[in-house]
Amino acid sequence: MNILARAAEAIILDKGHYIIKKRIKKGYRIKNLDIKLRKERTNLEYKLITRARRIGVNVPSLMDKNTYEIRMEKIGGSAVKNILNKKNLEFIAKEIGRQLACLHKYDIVHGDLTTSNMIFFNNKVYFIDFGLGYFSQRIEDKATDLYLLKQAVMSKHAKFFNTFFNLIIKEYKKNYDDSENVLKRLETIEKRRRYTI
Amino acid sequence: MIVLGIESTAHTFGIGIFDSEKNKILSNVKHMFKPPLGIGMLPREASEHHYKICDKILKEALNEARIKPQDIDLISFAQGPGLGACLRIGASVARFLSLELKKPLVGVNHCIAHLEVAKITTPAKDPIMLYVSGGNTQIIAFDEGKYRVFGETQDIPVGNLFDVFARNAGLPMPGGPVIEKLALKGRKYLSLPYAVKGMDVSFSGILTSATKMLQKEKLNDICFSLQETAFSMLVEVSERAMAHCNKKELVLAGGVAANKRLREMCKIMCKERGAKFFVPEFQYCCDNGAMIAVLGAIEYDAGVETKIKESKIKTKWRTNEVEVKWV
Repeated sequence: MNILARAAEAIILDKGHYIIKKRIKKGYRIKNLDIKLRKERTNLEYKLITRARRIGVNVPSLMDKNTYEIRMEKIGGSAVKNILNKKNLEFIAKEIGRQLACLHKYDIVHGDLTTSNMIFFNNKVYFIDFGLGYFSQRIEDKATDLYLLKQAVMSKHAKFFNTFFNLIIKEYKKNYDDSENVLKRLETIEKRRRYTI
Repeated sequence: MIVLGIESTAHTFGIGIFDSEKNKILSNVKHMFKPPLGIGMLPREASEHHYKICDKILKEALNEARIKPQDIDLISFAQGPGLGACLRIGASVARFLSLELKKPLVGVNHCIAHLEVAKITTPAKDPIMLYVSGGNTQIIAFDEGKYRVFGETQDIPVGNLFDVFARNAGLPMPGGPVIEKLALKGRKYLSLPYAVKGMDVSFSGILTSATKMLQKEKLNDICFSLQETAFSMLVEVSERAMAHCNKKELVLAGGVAANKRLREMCKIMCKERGAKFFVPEFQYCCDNGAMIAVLGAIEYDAGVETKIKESKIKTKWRTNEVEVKWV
């Protein structure tokens, strides 16, 4: 079997035109917890991707699933983390902002918004890995989502941070009516962390 | 260069002496403030403890290192983050020594000191550090010119979770070791909120649920479930951070690193993903003066010096705010 990627909690098997995301057993945690987490996350991820696709966000199309595996379309291109540069920065930021607004409008919280989980392909930004996502109407959860994105961009793309993140937010605001509350909450979350004044 | 490091961010007052030419820690003396049963640590009382004990610790550290005060070339102290009342004692001692001995002063960040001492006392070169204690829960690594926080707790630190739960259950402080012992007898896994948000974790929900369980479940089982849940979360986010930054080493540090179950889980995780796992010797794992001396030496070498008037403590000094000039 051809392993395309080995993520923290799953392996991605390459099957040519499609991939299998398989949640692997983790020896460090007890069996009950391990089975529970893998099952729940596989189920939930399937639902989240289905919903995201229905509302027009670029995600891989799904084929089927069983207990710990999801089969889905293989998306070419490369992770935004690896290809972000001065030229494509604006386009990618806007695409991220617009689609993230859409996800949040329909109460989908991605849960792991890093630039490794966004793929640039055919002039589109695809969101992948909804493994830590969930449905929620809470402002707090959506703000946490943005907070994680901010942290990830800050740590991985320190050079572009200001321009890149501001563009994302600008586009996010434009496309999501409740964005003001979310952004306000984002500030609160940042103040709540340890060692902030 | 002989460096004297002073640690007083929380319950521990410690002084360590480090010889930077030989790359060797000459002494590491510390004493921990322990509050009475059923009461948490009051910063005022901890600082009183530090104040009373500081000269004794200083003497012992010098004796153990077999040096005289005049042999010291540099004074380093933990400038933050931590409890104001406690930090002030360490800073005062540092300023006094610096003025009295006419030696330069360096104020360093406590969290980064944990990572730097691990690099001296273990074979780790470029690790991700899971830093877990009563005051901090962070996943730190050096990346693109700075120490960065890849994951952290969004509310209470894991050591604090154990301490407060122990207090609620009428167990003595610090809670970690007692809970560890009881957890060994627990068999039944009780479901607790598993709160991983990306690379961040949150423990307040576990604390509330576990405390509620005290009325109907066995204490052993609660302790077992508490540990399994909290540690699984920590190991999961550490693994996530390792995958994200493409690092092949994990260092476990902080007071909670004493826990054998957490060590075991980290070890299994690293083995499964072909990474290396290190825990510094426990005296360098928990709060200590030696690590402050080590980081002080590194920073001074790179030209960092703290003038007395800049030596005000920084109680909320975040890891990613530290300017790194030395790498």
